[in-house]
Amino acid sequence: MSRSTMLATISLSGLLLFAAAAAQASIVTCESTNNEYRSCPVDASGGVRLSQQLSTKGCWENDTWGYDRNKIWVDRGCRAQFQVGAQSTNSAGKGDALAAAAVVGIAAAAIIASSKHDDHHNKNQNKNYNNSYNNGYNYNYDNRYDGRYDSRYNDNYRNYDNSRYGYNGYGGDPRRTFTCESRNDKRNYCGIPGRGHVEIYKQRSSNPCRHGHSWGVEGNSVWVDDGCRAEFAVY
Amino acid sequence: MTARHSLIAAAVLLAAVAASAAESPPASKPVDTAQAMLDRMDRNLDGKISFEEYRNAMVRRFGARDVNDDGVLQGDEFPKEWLAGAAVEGATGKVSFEQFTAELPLVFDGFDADKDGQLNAAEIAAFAAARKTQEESRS
Repeated sequence: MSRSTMLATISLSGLLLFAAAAAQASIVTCESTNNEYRSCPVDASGGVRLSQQLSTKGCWENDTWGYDRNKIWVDRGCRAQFQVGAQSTNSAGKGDALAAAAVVGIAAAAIIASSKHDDHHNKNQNKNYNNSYNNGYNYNYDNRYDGRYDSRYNDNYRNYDNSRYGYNGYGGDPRRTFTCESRNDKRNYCGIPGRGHVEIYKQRSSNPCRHGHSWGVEGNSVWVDDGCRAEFAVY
Repeated sequence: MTARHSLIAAAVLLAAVAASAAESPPASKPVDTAQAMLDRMDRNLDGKISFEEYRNAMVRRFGARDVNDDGVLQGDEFPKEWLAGAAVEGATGKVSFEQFTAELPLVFDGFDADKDGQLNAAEIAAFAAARKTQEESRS
């Protein structure tokens, strides 16, 4: 046990060094709450990289997050930390990044090995962890929709009703998916089968699907426009 | 990957394709876990898995398990099957969101042999095979 404690100490030192290095590149947290668009002013001329996703709701570049010169934006429930400026590309400093990553990996293993003696490690982590996730709509799926949408959208959606594996299925697969297509670049509306968080599951068009521009949610419907065609997931 | 034997990495690896095992009838084994990974993760349908696709699928998976929404999987939430083969099942019985997400790029990069930021068909196959090996070593 002393050996693992020592390893944990050494690894934690590495972790702290890595954290200090990472702190020099600016880390900005930007969060879409209530599924609403949010912009966070930054000087993004040096590039932006999503460094840590905080929400289970999807963070998809140029759909639910993005940036331009002076801001990062998030939408549709995406919450994340972003690294702004230095090392925002994958090529530069890749060796260093991998070395640091290896240290983190070792640290994580060591922490796990000792965490049963050290419960306070975890207590204050993740204050921001997707607090909206349990706020009702995953629990309240309404079976009355089953018959109605089964007949109307039979060819268009798949049912992932794996509730026998417990909460929201075994591991985060959508409850339902359904397809919605903008033909001839025209707007189209599609009913959402059931309740839950909607996001794009598979984009099937070459035209981009970007939330707020070529797709969105209004009430119990999804709209698509400008040639966006996608399979949507209901979580 | 041989240099890294992190338990969480093992858990992440298993979590990536665990659904196919769980959603099949108990008697049948998943026949094509590489295809299962593509089915679940390949959002732009290019036959490859980007880190963003991988990250979103894995974070959502963690969230689905975290019933009490405290950012830590433990007790009934703790996915013992994710640690299959790691020989430490039940040793600690918890994993935090930070620990989990910190492993994601490590595991991903470990299988991204050509370092292009995407897992292609061969790399996905290697991932699925590694996961299968790990599951089969479950004690």
